[in-house]
Amino acid sequence: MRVTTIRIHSLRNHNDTETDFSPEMNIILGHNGAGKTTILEAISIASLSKSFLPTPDSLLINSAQSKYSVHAKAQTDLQVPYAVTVSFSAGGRKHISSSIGDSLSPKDIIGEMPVVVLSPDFKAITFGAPDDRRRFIDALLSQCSKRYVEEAIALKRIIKQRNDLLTSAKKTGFLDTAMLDLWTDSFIASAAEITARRFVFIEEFMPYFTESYSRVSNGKEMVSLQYQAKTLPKVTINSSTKKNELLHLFNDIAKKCRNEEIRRGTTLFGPQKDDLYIGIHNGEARDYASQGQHKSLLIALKYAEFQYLYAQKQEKPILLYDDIFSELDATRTRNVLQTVLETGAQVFITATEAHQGMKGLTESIDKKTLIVENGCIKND
Amino acid sequence: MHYTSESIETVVELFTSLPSIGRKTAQRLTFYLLRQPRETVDKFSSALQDLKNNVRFCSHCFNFTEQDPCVICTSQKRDKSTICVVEDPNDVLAIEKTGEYKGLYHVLHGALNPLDGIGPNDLKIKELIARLNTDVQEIILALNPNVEGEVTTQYLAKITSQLDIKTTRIARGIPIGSDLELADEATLSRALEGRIQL
Ligand SMILES: [Zn+2]
Repeated sequence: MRVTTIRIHSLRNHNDTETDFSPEMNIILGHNGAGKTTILEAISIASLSKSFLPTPDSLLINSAQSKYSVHAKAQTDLQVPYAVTVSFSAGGRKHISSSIGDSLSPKDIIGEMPVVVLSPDFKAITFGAPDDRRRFIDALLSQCSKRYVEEAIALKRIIKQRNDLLTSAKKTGFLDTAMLDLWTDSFIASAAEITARRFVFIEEFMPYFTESYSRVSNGKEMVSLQYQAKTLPKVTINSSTKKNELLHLFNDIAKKCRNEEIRRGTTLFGPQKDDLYIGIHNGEARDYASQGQHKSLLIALKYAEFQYLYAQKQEKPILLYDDIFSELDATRTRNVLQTVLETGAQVFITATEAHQGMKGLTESIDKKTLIVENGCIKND
Repeated sequence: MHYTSESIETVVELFTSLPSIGRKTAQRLTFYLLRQPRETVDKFSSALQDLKNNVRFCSHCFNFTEQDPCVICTSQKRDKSTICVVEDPNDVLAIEKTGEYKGLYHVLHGALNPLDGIGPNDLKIKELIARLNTDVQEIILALNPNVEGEVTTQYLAKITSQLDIKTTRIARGIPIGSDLELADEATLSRALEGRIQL
């Protein structure tokens, strides 16, 4: 997949920016706050319907305006044109249209224009909390399968409904047990579906990750991944555990948790409590990895994400590298970047200045350098 | 911003209180009406009066009707042994448009939804159970394909299975007339799961 042009209206400090891109390497240079990253955010919005940064949409709108919009034109690996427009008005809903149709929801466009983002913001995947890692899994699986997006949205909604029953039971002292049973059954069905899909995913993803890590670290260390269903008995499950068995296990847990759930007024089991174990030779990365190892792990995870997504979609993802040279490690990134460029994928890199790390990489490929200043592209 | 005329302001506010109408649209509608001849505006106001005076629930199926029981419930041509359960009157309209369904309906007026404070007693469920006499041979559950519709389907299925009435649900699959290759993969994956033996 390649973005050919993008048009940005009232997104952060970009009032009206339009530019075309190199099909291979795009280097976006500028000072801090100039609006480099916003160009990557715009590509993320066109692909995932939202920025890869946690900023809420209402705060992405240029403060003088009431609406942002992003329009991107792209081309698949087989040269099929694709176009998408995403806009958001303050206090309103997101409007999405694409080559598929109008009035779309995010799930209709997620995965159509696959993208992999490496940003210092994602450092939390290797040393943050479990939900940082679950978000990584959910985001990647969402690009692979629309069914997964639907299941994940349903799970969230069911938890909300079930928690509402539990909190009001706690508040009023009255519990409609038939209703709770009903929502528990529905929750268990959804929990089993999500858990099974995540287990299978991690098993498929692991070889990509180990291969990718050995490339980043020059093959010196062993790493591993393991999906941890925190609320299920550890010994009994793995990726080949059938959905029926998971339903059974969740049913047992539900019975055991029930009184405590009513007492606390909240759901106490399920995949929303799970974690991804990232192991290095001497233990869990979160506790034992050095600064350098954390950087390598993140770069490797993201390169594995690129390879996995490519294999699943049969479409080269677009790579967005945000500020990797100052925050991450140039030499570690270099090998990976070289390999990515060799696959012919389209890459976007932001940096405050033309960096040493980019030298030597870029001679044989098509490249474009954009200089961004105050939300405008200076050299277009 | 408020108008110097209180009458204008009142109408704008009333329009704004309608679903999916913002202030700008409300203003446009108000000024449009203001520019119309008196008869047009009278037609609107009497039509709104009639709406409230004449339309009520059918005491059998709880669809909107002007005569009770409604034309569907009293029709000699309808098959009284089948009841299709839907969330709201628009769903009846949608199924009627197919021209394929010849049975009766039952409108629940919503789905189970703890967050909105909607439990079984807020829906026309007791009324549905009251209709399940020996004439009724099949209940078709046609609720919305979302979390709340699914839970309501399970709830009703439990009740009807205790009453030993054949209960079915509509399939979630590929819309007819659309190419398989164009179907959204989530729909396709559900359609595969819901495959039936030939
Ligand atoms: Zn009726």
